[in-house]
Amino acid sequence: MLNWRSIWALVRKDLTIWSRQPTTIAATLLPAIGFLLIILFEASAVGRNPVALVVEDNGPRAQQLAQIITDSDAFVAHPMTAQQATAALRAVDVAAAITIPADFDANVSAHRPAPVQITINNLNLDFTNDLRRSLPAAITRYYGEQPESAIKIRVRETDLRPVDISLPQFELIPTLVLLITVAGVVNSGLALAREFEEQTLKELLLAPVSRVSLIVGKFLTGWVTTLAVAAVATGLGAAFGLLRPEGSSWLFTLGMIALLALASAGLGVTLGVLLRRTQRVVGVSIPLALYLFFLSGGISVPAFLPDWVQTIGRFIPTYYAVHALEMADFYNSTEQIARDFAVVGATALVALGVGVLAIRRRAIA
Amino acid sequence: MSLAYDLRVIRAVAVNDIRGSLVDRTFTILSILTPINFLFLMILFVLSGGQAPTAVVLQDNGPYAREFVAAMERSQSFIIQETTAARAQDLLRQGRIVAIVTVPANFDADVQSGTPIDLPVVVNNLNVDFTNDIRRAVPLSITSFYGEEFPNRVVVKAAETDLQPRDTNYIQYLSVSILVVGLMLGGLLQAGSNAAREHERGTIKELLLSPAARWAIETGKVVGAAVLNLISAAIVLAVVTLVLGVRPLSFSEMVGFSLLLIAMFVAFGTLIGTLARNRRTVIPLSMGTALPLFFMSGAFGPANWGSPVLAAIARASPVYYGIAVFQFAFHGFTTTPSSVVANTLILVGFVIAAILLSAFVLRHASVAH
Repeated sequence: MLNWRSIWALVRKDLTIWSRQPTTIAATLLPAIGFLLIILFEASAVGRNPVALVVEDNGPRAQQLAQIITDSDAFVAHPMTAQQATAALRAVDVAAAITIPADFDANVSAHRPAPVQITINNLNLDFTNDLRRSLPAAITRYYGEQPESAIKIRVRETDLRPVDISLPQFELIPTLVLLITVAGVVNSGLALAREFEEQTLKELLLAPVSRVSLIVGKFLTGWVTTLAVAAVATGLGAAFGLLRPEGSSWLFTLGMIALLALASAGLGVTLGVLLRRTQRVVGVSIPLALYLFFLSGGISVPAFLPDWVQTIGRFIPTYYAVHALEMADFYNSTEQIARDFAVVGATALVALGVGVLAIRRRAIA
Repeated sequence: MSLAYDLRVIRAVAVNDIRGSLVDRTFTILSILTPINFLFLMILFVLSGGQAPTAVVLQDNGPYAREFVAAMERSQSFIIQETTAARAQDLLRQGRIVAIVTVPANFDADVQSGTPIDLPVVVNNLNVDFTNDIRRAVPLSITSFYGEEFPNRVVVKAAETDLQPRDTNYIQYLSVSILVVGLMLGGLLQAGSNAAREHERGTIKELLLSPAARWAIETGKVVGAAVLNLISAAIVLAVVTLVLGVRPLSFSEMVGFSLLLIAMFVAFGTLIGTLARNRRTVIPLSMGTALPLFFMSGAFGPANWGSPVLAAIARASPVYYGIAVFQFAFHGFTTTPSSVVANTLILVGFVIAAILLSAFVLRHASVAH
């Protein structure tokens, strides 16, 4: 049934065509590399809002609070005068201006209300709420440092995971999955659509090659090209220190990447057979890959998403790919790895089956 | 050649492109629907909303314990679910919540007597960004609780003044930014495909051999694509204003800026199509550039508040100025150090530069032929 010589000839021909289209390769790589660079650059800024810090009191309590605000990982504090702070707010250089007033120490000593002024450029509730949380957090820390603190409740935090995962590290995994999905679906879909457009598919169908061999050939080409793209992204991730599984976890990481590439290539082949036009393939496959990406959690934590999105996510294979890669990369863990590999592997098999069925129907048509 | 002739060329090229696009119905529908797809996708991204789904286990039901939970609710940081310790552990294991806060037994008595209280907080520290939100929000709730219950003991408080008359929530802010990326995608896809199609079919030779001016051909292509882009723009605008309920403060400014952005993105699309010469490259390239550009151009908040490197790059991007003028038309605030007038002039400059550049590229292409 499978003619490996024919399959090899098909793979070689498609790989040659693919390698002669650098613009298409670049276009496939561009979104994920763009994302990767944004993640790297934004890493230092996420969660830290630029604020103007105006300290009008030289007393020890005011200085202590100012130091806490400066040291806080919630702010990038720029010491300024009141006028400079107003100008910086107006120029959208800072998100807020925090003012510790001149009578701060005196009021605190006398147990009188000692408000710390914060003027927020509340143009976006996400930033605004961060600021609304961060100043009281700094005040709580200030009270915590007092010998006779009025606040008696202390947080006793227990973390579920042994290590905190940085945002760039966390976002790399879904981005890598997005890249592999887009590359697999687009490259494989285009390879088949091209055969339809140039009518070379007729020749292939009339040749003494089984439909299964034909689809397997396209499948393997898509897999190899996707792996090439994935190798670039994985290499970059490892080089920047964002992807760092240890020991056997590398094996699981690479295994899942290979399996996901296979499943994506299979989906692309099926789309190529069904849509038969390059513009249609690209027009459908990129949004489809993006939908899969966002519905399976995107760069967010699935628990933060509404229940219905979480429920849909569990039916999307990339959800399991992300889970397996996170476990292997972040915690060197094999938690539910069998389930994840089974789901992504089954997706590849189903895609292969649907592809064969679809091309058989097309051939009859 | 006379101006009347040039205008006839512009009209003929525009009509030809519109007819050509309507023949390829599947692609035209896809390109019209792509911006709306992006809108839905980005809304999915926003649905997380920044509020942590958290279980609260109340081992004390006294008034102070209740007031503490109320303080957590007021912090706008948690989606609280009161439950038992066992159920909370289950939910955490299933990934349905990201934290468990246990209000211990004797909470009320200890608060009353001033005895130190340990507040157990279990965090699913999967992502340091979300984890830090919880780490800040719990102390915020504690301070807020003391501020309400013991105003004489906790005298240092945050006194907030807002610069804008009202808060703009995340969906209201982001959907306006998404409008810009929608216009961008629609413009690049439609115009890029129209320009590339002439090269694919070889009809560009006929156009170049005609006595028509290159700028008139390019302008005709821009006009043709702009008409088609208007349809997708109208759909996205309708969803944002009618379905999401995000209404512009100034309707005329919104329409004016929409037309300006359509002209600009369509001109850039024509340039890309003329350079790439095949739709196989134009389509992924348009989609591939749209997302990264969108992310770094201040879509989620002013670019100045993020990484300085990205902010510097963003200033060279037309999307940055597009988002700024749209936020102004919808919400009345500026997100860039430059004024709205300056941003508008910069956008006009981008439009002129893109048309001239694509005419130049087309002229260069004729030499190659």
